[in-house]
Amino acid sequence: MPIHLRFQASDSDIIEMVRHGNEHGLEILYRSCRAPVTAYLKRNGGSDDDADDLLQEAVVVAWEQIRTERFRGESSLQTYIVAVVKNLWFRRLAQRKREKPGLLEPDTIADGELSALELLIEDEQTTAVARVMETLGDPCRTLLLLYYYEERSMKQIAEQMGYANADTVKAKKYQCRKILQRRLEALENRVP
Amino acid sequence: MSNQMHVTGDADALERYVLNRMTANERSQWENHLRECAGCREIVRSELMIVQGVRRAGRDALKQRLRDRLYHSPGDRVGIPWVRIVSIAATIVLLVGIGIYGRWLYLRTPQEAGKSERVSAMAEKQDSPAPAPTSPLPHERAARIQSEEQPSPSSPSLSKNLSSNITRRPLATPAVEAAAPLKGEVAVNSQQLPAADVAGASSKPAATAAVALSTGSWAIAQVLQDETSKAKADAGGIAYSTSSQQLEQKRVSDDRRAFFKSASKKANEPSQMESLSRSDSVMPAVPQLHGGGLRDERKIILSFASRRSEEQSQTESLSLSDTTLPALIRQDSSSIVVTIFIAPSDSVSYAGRQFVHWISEDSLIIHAGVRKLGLRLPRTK
Repeated sequence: MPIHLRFQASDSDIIEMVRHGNEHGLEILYRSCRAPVTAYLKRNGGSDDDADDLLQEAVVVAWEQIRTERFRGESSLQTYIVAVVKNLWFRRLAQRKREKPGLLEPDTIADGELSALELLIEDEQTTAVARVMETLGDPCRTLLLLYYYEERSMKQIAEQMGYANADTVKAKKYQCRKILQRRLEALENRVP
Repeated sequence: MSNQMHVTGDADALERYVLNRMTANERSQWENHLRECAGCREIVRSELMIVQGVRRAGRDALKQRLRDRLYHSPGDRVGIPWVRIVSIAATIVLLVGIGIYGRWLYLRTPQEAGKSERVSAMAEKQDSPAPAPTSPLPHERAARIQSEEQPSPSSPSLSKNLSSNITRRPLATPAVEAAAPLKGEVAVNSQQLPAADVAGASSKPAATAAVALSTGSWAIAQVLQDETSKAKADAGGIAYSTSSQQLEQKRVSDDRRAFFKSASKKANEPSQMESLSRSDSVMPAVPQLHGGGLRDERKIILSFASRRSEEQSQTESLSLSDTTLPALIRQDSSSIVVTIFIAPSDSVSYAGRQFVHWISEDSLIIHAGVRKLGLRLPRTK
């Protein structure tokens, strides 16, 4: 088992790094939270692989929250990460329960809640979009990621990608959406 | 929002809805419309699917980069525990360093110790007056002896007076004054010093004149054994079955036995002394050599001098032969000075290699080149 260096960055340092898009902050966050997350999941029936997977996901959630200015800093980053891991773990446990036979009966699903089948279809569709996104080259892929994932404004994307103005970005985004749509339709048509 | 105003007609509003950028009031209106418009719900769901798909793509890419950082960062590359390797390497370097330092200390200590001893000896030498470049001639030594005898050492005619004093002095009685004051003498064991150091130290008494020794007495230095002749005898077939240590003990015992047997007969017996028959007029000036040993906590200082014509008159009545040499012994409370007058035919060099072989209460055996010389020492005062 390799010995990892412990990083002694404060929360404010990490948040500042994430805000500036420095992905080293992700690594620091992951390493600083691994011990408590692993301990929690092992106490609750999880494994090292579960801890690894969920922690990566939680760190990415934290990244997204910080990048979109939704992280309010009411708790420490470690507390926030552990809380996200707990929610993800409860959701994963619930998903595993649903995957058992008999749980797909309509009368067992509350009103307004997606059934396991609907969730499965939705998951497949979003996975298909993500797969098509991988086939998109730049600048479309970067532009769409900045707009939908990073939730940057047209003006910010124009400055970051070197477009003339927000209108130019808007037009370019429209073109990229069309390309994505066509490739997605083509993918759906190939699936029997 | 009316039923005629479908969401498909406003792309910007649709994006604001799926991106959650609407105001609460606007969002409420949209949700009321979506409950009534199935087509609009499908459009919104399709838009949400695109947004969620793009976000999943971004999230997957970010997670992949995170994994790359975690498992392929310089600290974890191909699973090599660099920190542990560095720790082990540092430990090895530390241990090697300690070993080198320890060896350096081990090697340094005796050298430094020897150096400091030499430095100390040199410092003491520097404290004393500079040694004479050559050994004083016998008449000069006699002059020094006389000068120490006289209350006023500044007399210019000491040399002449001394010569007359020596010639008048009876040989068998302690009548010769000390020639070499010993203050500042380095107490060294002759076995620890090379001949050059011994020779260098020997010149100091000749140059210092601070403490006078008591009157000396003539004695016989008995030649106990000639190493060259013994080596020939050994080569002739004498075999020793004992170890080298036992052999050495036996040789010492034999030497002592022979010495005491001879010395008891000849020492302090002027009537049995033989005349000095050798001519030593051609003998050049010989540097004094001395070594030292401890006896009754007094320094034993050995010096060798050639037998000059001036001493001839002093030593002619001593028993001299191939196996005896005249010796002058002087002493004070802290030292005993033994001056052995070697035969003119003997090389001074062998005398310079002397070292103490045996010291007891009343006897001294030294190596003098290829010879061993035995001396009976005066009793401790």
